[in-house]
Amino acid sequence: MQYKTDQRDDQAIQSENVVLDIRGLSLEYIMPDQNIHAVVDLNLVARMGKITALVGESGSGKSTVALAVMGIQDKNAVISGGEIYLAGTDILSMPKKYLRAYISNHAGIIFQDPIDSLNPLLTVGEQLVEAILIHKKITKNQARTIALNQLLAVSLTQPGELMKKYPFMLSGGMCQRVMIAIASVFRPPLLIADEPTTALDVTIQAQILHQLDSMRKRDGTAILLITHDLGVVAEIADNVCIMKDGHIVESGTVDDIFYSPQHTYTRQLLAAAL
Amino acid sequence: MMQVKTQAIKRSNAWFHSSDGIINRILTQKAAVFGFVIVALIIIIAITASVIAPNDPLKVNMSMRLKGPSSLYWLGTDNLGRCIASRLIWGARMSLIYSMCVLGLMMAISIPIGLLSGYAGGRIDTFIMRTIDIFLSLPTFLMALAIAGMLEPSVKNMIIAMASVWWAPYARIIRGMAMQIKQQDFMLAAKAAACTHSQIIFRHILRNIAPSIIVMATLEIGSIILAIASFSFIGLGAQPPTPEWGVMLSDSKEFMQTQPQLMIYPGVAIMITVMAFNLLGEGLKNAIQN
Repeated sequence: MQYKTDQRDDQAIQSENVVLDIRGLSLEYIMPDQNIHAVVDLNLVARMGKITALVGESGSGKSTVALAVMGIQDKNAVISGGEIYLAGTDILSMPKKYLRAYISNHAGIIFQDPIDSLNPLLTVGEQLVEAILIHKKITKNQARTIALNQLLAVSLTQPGELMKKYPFMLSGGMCQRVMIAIASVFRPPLLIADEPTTALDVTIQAQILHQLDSMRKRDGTAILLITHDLGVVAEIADNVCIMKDGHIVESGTVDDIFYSPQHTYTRQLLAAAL
Repeated sequence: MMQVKTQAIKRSNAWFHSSDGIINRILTQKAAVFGFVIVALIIIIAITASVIAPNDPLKVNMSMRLKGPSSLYWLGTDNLGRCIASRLIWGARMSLIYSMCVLGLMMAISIPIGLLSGYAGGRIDTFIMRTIDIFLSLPTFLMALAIAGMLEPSVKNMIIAMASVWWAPYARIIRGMAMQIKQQDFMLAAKAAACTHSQIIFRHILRNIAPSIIVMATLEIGSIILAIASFSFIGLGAQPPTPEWGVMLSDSKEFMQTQPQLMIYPGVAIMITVMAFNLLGEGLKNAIQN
């Protein structure tokens, strides 16, 4: 591949199963009067089969990171430094032409509000089939078969019926499952979940988290879980990065962070959650 | 506020799929139903004009000039002995065909330009918007008149003149709607799934604003019909002896004092048609908005 690949220590990267490696990422929002440094020198690693949680308050820049990894940040967001290695290739050095295809083959994303994340005018089936056809040159019928299996894979029963339904006819939890189904059609190595449970009931939250958990066990997907809910983190995450004002103030395993928080902000967060 | 907006969009998209669907909401509005019935009648009359018209609308019969209603001439005859009822019936067809042409041309210009402007944003958007500002600063009817006057007076030129001036405000409205859809979460999801620009524009944006465009178009037909009649009245649109309502008004203005019914019939026809389309459009608008 002619793009910048991870030369540093390929062997080590392989053995560590690193899917996403963000190094020194800085991102600014260009505003008319001043530039806002949303992300400053951020380092983050997501490994295969692990759930990495990115925790922080609103406006700390955690969603911006997610959008930057997917290459869908706002037009006024300028990446001023750093590298984002997705499956071994730096997506920031990649020509725009191939960028979207590459990223969507290697990463999927689900958002906070599942109902709004689906086009209200297209049926679940149409949207799922559309997502499949973007990636594979196959017939609509073959895509339908994949779509049906995919719905079953995210624990949705009666997929045939569901394919004909519109998003507003489904519950939030079902929509989120459909989103997961769309984001993971071709088993991308990375799944970004941007506050996937914030808009859902507590019981549904648990089911969605369970779904994510089973995905990483079944497919070995690396999951980047963006949340402000430490309860969720404690439940399923392996590693945690605490983010504040665009910086990662502390990172480590869940046990490290929960039992021996070093940074004051982490302690405050934990205190607030208890 | 945002919540209300997305709610409105969600509901407008219900279409036929629930008991709260758009059809039901239109049916609860008497005025809209009334408008719909009349529009449907006019469309049926226009389609079946060749069957239901009692006489040839163009046949001149000088021995039967300015006669009153009879079983052969339902509404009497005009100054050339032509059947008024037949001319009105054929006029409905002409009015609908012409207004559809104007509307189609207008939308063919304003939808792509509005979508491009709203979706692309940035410099393209600024350029298109300033161009539209120029168009908006000109009095549209006068501009259309000037264009129609410069070209040869004919229906084709009238349609071109009207569409080339009136597309601007619609392009701007469509741009606004496209920008609103662009802010929705599913646009981000579509981009993340590597949808192409054309997929995003046509499948995701256009389909979502289509209901609003239909409402806009329905509301517009009334004023287009009126404008076409005006153009024909002053001799820049349809030419005599075409059975067109504006032409009929123009032809009969010399007899206004002695035979006022010659003007009243086409006038009433125009009024009813415009009113029906406006009522239907208003009803659609209410059904989609609340």
